[in-house]
Amino acid sequence: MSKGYRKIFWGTILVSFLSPGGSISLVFVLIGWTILTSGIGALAEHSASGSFKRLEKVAVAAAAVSLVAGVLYELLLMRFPPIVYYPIVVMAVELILFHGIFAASYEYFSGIEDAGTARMAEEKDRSYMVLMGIALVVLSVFYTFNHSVTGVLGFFASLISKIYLLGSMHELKKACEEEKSIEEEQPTA
Amino acid sequence: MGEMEKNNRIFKGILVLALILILAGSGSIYYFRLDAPVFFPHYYDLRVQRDDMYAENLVLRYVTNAYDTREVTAAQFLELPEVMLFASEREEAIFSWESQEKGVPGEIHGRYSVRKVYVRNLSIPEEVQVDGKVIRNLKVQFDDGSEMTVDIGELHLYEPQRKEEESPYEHVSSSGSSDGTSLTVYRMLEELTLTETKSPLADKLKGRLDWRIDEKLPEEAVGHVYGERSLLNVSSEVLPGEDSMDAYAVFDVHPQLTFMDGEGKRFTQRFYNMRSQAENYSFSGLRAFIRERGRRDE
Repeated sequence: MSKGYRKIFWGTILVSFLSPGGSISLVFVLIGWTILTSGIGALAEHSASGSFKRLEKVAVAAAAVSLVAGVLYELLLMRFPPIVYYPIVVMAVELILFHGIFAASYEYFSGIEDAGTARMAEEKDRSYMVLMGIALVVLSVFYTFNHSVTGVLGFFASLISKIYLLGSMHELKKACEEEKSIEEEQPTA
Repeated sequence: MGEMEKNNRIFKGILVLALILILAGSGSIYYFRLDAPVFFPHYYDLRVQRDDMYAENLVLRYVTNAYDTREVTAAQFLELPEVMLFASEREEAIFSWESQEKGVPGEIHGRYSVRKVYVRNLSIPEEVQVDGKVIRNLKVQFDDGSEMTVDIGELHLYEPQRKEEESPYEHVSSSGSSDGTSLTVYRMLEELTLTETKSPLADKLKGRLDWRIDEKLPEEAVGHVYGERSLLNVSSEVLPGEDSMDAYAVFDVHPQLTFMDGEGKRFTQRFYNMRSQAENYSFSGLRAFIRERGRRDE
């Protein structure tokens, strides 16, 4: 399990901090999505419920949305002005994916009767969603009115939500590692 | 599953919120979108140079949609069809390879962008008479091949008068400040009477420019006799304007004073430094201007 969360952590870093602009960053973003998807795949192998398996498809869809919209942005800016909202769409798709990861994690940890980690997943999910919600509102005002103050606030709000997400994935990874070491120390009879 | 259900509700709420924001934002984009660029009213006294190719740079301003990629590449005064003007939205770039700026030019304010057009090569062939000519319409060409004719305001063209004799006055000082005030001082070298003031754009700029001759309104100053060694002070102050049309008017006027000496000989002198300052554009101000302009054009 910890391997899966580690991959999601590193995949998220590549996806989040390199927006698809130039061709080189596009390659990194593509690599990021691949690592992230394989991380979800790794989680799916350990989970019986199939929730993580479904999320693999969501991850592929999210990758497609972020890459295609990023490339089309420049081309469509004048012909289709609402394209300015593509980062909002990408954020919404990411929200679907990461809420899914938190929910599936909650389900998994509840299933193995690790109530503490399950509660942590549920709490992290909620805080992450609230942070993303704030970033979405502020950024959509910025994209509509090119208002510089909301642009800066939106940038920081989305940065904080990303850092919070990375911290959460790291903590879930740590929880899995701790669980594994406890299992190794006290093998079940 | 109670707590997670709460999370699911928050999740759905945020997705709905994102959808509403995108729809409302897209609606606003289309609502504020301009069908065509809108030029600010320009009121210029424009000195025409015959000898220097790049003597005068006429700067025109217009508002268009934010991120409008079209750029003005040529301009033509409808009242002077024989003169073709070079225009560019890039400062100091007469030829394309000199261009330093990249990306879309302009100052973005909300859904709009304020753009500057630098009209160059304002040298007009000798055979074309322009003194006293008034330009009201401008045809502009964009780099995508489209063109439009716009009401530009009023550009009053004039030719500088050749000084054949010694001036009966001397220049003492000229100053212009970023707060919109200016002062020009001349010293009279002989007794002179102010016989006429000419500023054809004064009426158009009533709300924007207050200019005075020795603290008096120009029409009140006519008839004043200046003794030898006395000083003539011409001052001006840029005003904020009464409405958005006024406030965004771009101007640079050069009023002309005519003096007469004891022998009945006339002398004329232009005064400068009476121009609009760098505007503090805002989205709401531009919106008000566009609405007002649309209402007046109807």
